[in-house]
Amino acid sequence: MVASFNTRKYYIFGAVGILLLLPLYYFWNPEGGAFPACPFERLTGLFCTGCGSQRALHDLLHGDIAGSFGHNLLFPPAILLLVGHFGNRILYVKGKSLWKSPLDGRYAPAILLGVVLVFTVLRNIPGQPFSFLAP
Amino acid sequence: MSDQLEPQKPSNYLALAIICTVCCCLPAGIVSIVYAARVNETFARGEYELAEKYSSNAKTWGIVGLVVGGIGVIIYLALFGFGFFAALMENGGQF
Repeated sequence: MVASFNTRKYYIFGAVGILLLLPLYYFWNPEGGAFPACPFERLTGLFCTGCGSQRALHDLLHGDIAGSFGHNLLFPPAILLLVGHFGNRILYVKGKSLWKSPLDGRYAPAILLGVVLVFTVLRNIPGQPFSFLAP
Repeated sequence: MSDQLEPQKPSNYLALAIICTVCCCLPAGIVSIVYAARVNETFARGEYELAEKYSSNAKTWGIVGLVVGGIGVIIYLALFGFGFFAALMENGGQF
């Protein structure tokens, strides 16, 4: 599916925004504790789905793939899905996309919903082996 | 919308829902994924108008999540930002 010109404008805005943020996450380590904890975690004491994403991004930018998975198991796969999706929408040769988007599958939303819900519940269970999933 | 002609499948905004779920710690991302799944289901069943409706719901929830998350971060930084910057100064500006 080739994106319309109008949609591509938003993609370019998004790409510029992300490029501006990447140096920040490269040089700044969210692990330091100077940054306040997420309000949701502070109020409820629970880890939400995206918890650990900032640390995972910092790890990923430094090539620490194991560390990235350790802070949020779903973060590296989510990045791959988004790169696959937006690559499909932006990169095309002679009006044809170079590859299919993994998000266009018939059951992609349903599978994703299941994975996200299971992951979010499991990472909040204290003790082994679930502490691996905690941020 | 005619019954004989299959219209183009409306976007399910799944990428937006993923970005929302990763960044914003908000249930809005989950709601958006649920609507994305409904878009695919209803479109596959041929209920095109319903699919369009769910598509716009998915978009709305995705955008609501991003906006509320963004505003939430700003309010939160305004409340706790002083402590954050004080800690930065103590470290001599080192992150």
